[in-house]
Amino acid sequence: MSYTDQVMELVIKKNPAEPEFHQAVKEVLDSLAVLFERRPDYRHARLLERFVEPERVLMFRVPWLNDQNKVECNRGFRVEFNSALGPYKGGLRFHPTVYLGMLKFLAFEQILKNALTTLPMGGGKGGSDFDPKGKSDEEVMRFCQSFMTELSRHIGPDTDVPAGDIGVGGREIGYMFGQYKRLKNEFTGVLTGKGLKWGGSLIRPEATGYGAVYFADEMLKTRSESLEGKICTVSGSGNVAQYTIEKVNMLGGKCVTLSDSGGTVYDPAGIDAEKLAWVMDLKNVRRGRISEYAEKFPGVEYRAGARPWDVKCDAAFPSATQNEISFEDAKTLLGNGCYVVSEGANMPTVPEGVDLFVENKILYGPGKAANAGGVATSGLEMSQNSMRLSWTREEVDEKLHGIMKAIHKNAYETSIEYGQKDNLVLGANIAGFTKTADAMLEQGVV
Amino acid sequence: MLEARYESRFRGYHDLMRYRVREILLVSTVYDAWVLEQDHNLSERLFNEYVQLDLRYVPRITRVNSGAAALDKMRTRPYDLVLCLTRLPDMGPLEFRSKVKELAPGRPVVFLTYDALDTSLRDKLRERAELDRVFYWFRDVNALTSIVKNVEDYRNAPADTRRGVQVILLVEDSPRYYSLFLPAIYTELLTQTRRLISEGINDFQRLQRMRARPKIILAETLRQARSYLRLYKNNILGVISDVRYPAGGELDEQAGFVLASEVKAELPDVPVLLQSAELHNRESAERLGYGFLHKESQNLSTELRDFILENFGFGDFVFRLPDGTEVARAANLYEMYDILPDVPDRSILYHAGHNHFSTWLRARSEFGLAEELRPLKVTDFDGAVAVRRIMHDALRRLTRSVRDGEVREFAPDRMAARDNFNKLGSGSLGGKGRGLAFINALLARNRFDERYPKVHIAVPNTFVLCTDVYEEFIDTNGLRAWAKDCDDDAQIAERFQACLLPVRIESDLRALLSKASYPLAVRSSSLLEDNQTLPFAGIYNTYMLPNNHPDLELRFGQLCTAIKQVYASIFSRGPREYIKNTGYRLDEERMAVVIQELAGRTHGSRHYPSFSGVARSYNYYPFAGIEPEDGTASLAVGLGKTIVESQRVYHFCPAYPRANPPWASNEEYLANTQTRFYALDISRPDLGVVPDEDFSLLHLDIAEAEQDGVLRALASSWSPQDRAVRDYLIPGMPRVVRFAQILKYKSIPLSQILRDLLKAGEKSFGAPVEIEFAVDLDPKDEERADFSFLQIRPMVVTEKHCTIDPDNIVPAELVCSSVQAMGNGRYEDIHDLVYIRPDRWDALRTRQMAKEIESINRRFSREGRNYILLGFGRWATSDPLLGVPVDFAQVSQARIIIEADRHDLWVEPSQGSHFFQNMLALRIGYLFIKESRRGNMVDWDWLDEQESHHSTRHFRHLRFDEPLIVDIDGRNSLGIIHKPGDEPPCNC
Repeated sequence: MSYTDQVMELVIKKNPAEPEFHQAVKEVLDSLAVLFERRPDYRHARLLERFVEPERVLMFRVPWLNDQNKVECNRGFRVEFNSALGPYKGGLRFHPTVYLGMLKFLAFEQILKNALTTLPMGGGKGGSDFDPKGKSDEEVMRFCQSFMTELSRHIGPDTDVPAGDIGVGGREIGYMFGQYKRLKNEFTGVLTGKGLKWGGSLIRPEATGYGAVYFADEMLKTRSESLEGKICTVSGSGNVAQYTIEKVNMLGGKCVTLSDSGGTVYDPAGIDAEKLAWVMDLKNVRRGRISEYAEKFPGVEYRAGARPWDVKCDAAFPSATQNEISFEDAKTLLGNGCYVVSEGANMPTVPEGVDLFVENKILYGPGKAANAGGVATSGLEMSQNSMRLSWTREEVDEKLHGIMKAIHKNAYETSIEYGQKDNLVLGANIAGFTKTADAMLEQGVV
Repeated sequence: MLEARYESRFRGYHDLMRYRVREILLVSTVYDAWVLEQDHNLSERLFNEYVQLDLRYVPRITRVNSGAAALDKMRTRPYDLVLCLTRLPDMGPLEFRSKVKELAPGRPVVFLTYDALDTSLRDKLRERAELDRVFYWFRDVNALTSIVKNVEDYRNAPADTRRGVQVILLVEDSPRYYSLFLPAIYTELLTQTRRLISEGINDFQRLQRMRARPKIILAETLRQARSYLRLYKNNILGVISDVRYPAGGELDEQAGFVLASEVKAELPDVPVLLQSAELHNRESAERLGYGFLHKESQNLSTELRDFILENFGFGDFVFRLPDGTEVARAANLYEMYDILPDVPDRSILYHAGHNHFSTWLRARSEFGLAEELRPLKVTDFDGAVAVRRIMHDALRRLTRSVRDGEVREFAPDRMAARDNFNKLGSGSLGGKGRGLAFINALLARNRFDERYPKVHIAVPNTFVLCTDVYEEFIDTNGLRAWAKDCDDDAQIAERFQACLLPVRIESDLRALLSKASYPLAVRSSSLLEDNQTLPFAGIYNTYMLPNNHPDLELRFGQLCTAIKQVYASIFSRGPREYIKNTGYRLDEERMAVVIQELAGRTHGSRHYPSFSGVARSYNYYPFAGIEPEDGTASLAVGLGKTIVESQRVYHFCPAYPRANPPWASNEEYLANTQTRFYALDISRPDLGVVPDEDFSLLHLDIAEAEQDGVLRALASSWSPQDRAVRDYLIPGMPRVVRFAQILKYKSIPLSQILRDLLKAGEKSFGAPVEIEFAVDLDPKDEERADFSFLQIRPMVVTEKHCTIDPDNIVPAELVCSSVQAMGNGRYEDIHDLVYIRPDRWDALRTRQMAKEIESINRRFSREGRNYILLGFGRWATSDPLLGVPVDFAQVSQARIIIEADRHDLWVEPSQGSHFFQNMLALRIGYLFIKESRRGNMVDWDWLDEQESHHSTRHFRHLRFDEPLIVDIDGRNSLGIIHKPGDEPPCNC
């Protein structure tokens, strides 16, 4: 039995009835098989056995009063999984399906995501089976205050810094931060995702789009190229797409497409800053359809029902949704000469498409690396809080640029190290894990 | 809380005049009978007299020519009144009276005499002086009616006065004079009452008011007069008295003055008219402040009328200064209400001090208000301001209570701005019209304006063309048979358009338009619509008209076209299919048309309310501890079309208005918020009306509403930096329309109003109800609003119960299951299932899908089979990106409709759309399947493995030998469909 099989067996035995966690561990271990062959020291230090065991799991009662003045009771969790690289960092999820197994699975994944950013962040996750659906703001507030009353004993800016997740947005972060501050009598960066006026960071909406472009630019640099003069196709028209276009424009490229669920606009002249400002108003404020773009600007073609992947381009930025690049789309992109794909969306390419990109050795930036800009800004918010500073947009953008460079460098160099140059899928997986694993080794048996 | 109690305002009036003279036995010689008949055509005149007075029954007169015959008649039938001429062939009057009294004790016997009777004989003829009178017969048939009424008045007065009815005391001992006076006073009284009741807005009100006319009580002695005064002290409208009549057993020359002084002392404001044959009494009477009437005057009737008009409050209310100078005049309550603010203080104080207001109101049968005012003395008020305010408020309540809530028969010359509900024609108001009329009445009775002083809750000005107009239109144009056989909607619309509306209504419509200069909604109100069990929600057409062209004829043409198109919609394809499914026949359907002021206000070139809503007292999908009975409501900016078409709107529970929608994250606010709204385009006054009911509507970006200043009080902002919704408008940030200012911060008490209205509606209908409304906020004061009640209809909530035990469900045996199902019971005879192929789903091709399913449905229709329909997103949405935009006819053979979600199609159930309502009404089962939620599943693999019976680009049609058994547990919202061959036990 291989080392990973032994660990897997142990995981199932020690964590019965947590299938999501089993699955997550298995996928990681399978993808890293090549690593474990090279690193017998991991086995010697029983590193995997430690890696799959959370450092601490908190489970607590969260009683609160609903609007009818009746007592409700939920269960709260915080899985403090790994702090080898920094304070536990990971979101809080409020959803009725939340249970320990799910949070362990999410926290386990978070360790690797955070590690990839190169920022000093460990991995954790928390939440509650509280269902915010249909609750009044006051009920949400009372719940959050009760939740934080217990959680506050276990978190801190240098210990554990939760963020938002499903069911936890700006409203909930605000209520929880307020209660923490009241209990501890201190204003510290104990949560990220805070309001801009009280400790939040700039560039959050921009981060993912900017990051994907920086990542693409870094990939091109490995071939001594840049985005300058490149024709780019972008899918979607939300935040990620908008800021992708903004950054591509800044770096001298030309974006020619945008899309929504109705279809795609193809603007051969390029979506310049002025047009982009119009799109931002259309989609963010007026909430209109992208087809209006074709009516507004001359020379634009609207392709109802079509995605942008059959438009000839150098670089593609899938920024809309999961599975938006089918196997056929991947073939079309390659056939049209596209040789850069940087994923701003989560898993936008079907697995067969990913394989095709990797086989053809194009510059493919997988989502877990290329869209890490979002996670990175959480780290940047922590940094600003601990320094008692609020960086300007430019400063945050510069830091983000640095992080994306580092992510790429890690993944790229790892791909070379493991003999699969440009295979950033492999590079990202191994780089994230080894960073944490090595830190654990160096920190001894703790 | 509001009591869902509807009582006619005139309810108490039903109890008035309980005693009626219905059978009269007239006993006379043949000659007298002949004279009566020939000279006076007695029966006919009596009949005419009653009809003219709007009295709804005419006493029947049985004639006999002898005393013996009369007695025989009385043995076989009870008579209420015996009228007898003093000359009988077979017996004297005394003998006759004795025998009658013996036969029917207490029965009034009134003698008519041509000649003066001896006083002693006269007294002997009268068993009871107040009933058994002797009248002189001046061959005036009015005398007969006054005799009848006087008998009735005497009997009814004790009970009726307790309900506020007034009494005129007539004191006269001379049969000759009271024979003259009674008919004269009755005639005048009834004439004036008839004039006043023409202010009544329908036959019913007029009849009720007639019942409440003042009673005349005749006294012949001072003692009797005093006795009646004591008895009816609080109801005396006036006293008309002779001067000389018996007092203490003796004829007293000054008895009238004695009585008058006693009246003045006790009831200073009660007018007294003294009448005398001696002119010298005039001076004394006038000096003492009494009216005077000379019995021998040639102008007796005129003078009597003048006195009644002036003093009994029957005429105009003449505002005078204390010196008698006229300063203003009001003919009715409305004029009084209007001019009151401008009347000088001195005049107000003068009239208030003399109780003129309460007298005038009593004459109009407004006893309640008169009672309120009468005890108030001028010293009770802090000057004229207070008097005016109290009067004004009281009249405002009164005029509203008279008009509001009543359906007035349309009369162009009488149409007033305040008449908010008119009808034209004698047929039915139709379902919608009935509902509106009812709620109009309910609102008025429950004093919503007092409950919610800052929100004016009302049915908008409404005019209903009753169903008889439709029938006349159909019949005179020969459309009935033709339209029934024609299956081309366009042809039907064209033919209807070419036909003429009945001539009789054209002038009324023109009159309506000459006064109604606001935008109009022309809505269907069919007989079957809003039926208790089959709400034909949204089946027929509605047209919005800007109605703002300066040319009346052009507006008239637009209105006529809209009416005809509403008529034509009965025969269009959709309604036909629907009616077929209901089991009714097309022949049974009739159409009334509701022409209604369009709620809202004008913003530049468009007109719309701040927001519209639909509220239901029963929630099909309660969540987060909310009970189904807590109800649900949906709101959308602009016209309500956004809601009924199932577009993105805001849902909330009126019982818990602060509870947010059932969305898992703040981002979902953004994904589900309203982005467009409907408004009426008023920039094209000459727009031609076409069959497409959207012809006059604008579908605008929500930003336009912000420019109009409407969003400020309704919308919040999404802050992408903070991932949070903020309840104010942040420049440049996306808008989230969630009505927080109203629902969370209660700028207007909307949720309380909805709860009240739903409760009232539910109690009234005896079933859960759905209401449609529009609210327009006052831009200058956001706590003020007009709440327009647009419709009420019963909801279909099944009572029958089928139970599914979740523990016994074996997913492998099921085609699908849902924990959000509607309907109830088991469906055992469906062998077909049509589903959208998941791999072919494309949100951009849903219109093509609609055409395909229509074609498939047609095949089922031809075969007489039904099927289960399974698709993604919302069926019947008007947004083709949210689902397949079918209409009812396109899926009419489906018995089970399933809406499944996809990772790329995230919508909430269709609850609340018209389509949904109708679906439930026809017992079509409904399953909403969100596969990510526990208990929901579709076995897509199994479906794909089954052999196609037929397929199209987007659909597969499966047909099975064994039925697909469907169980729906309505109470627990569970629905499952078994695979063929599975024979599950039935718990239904």
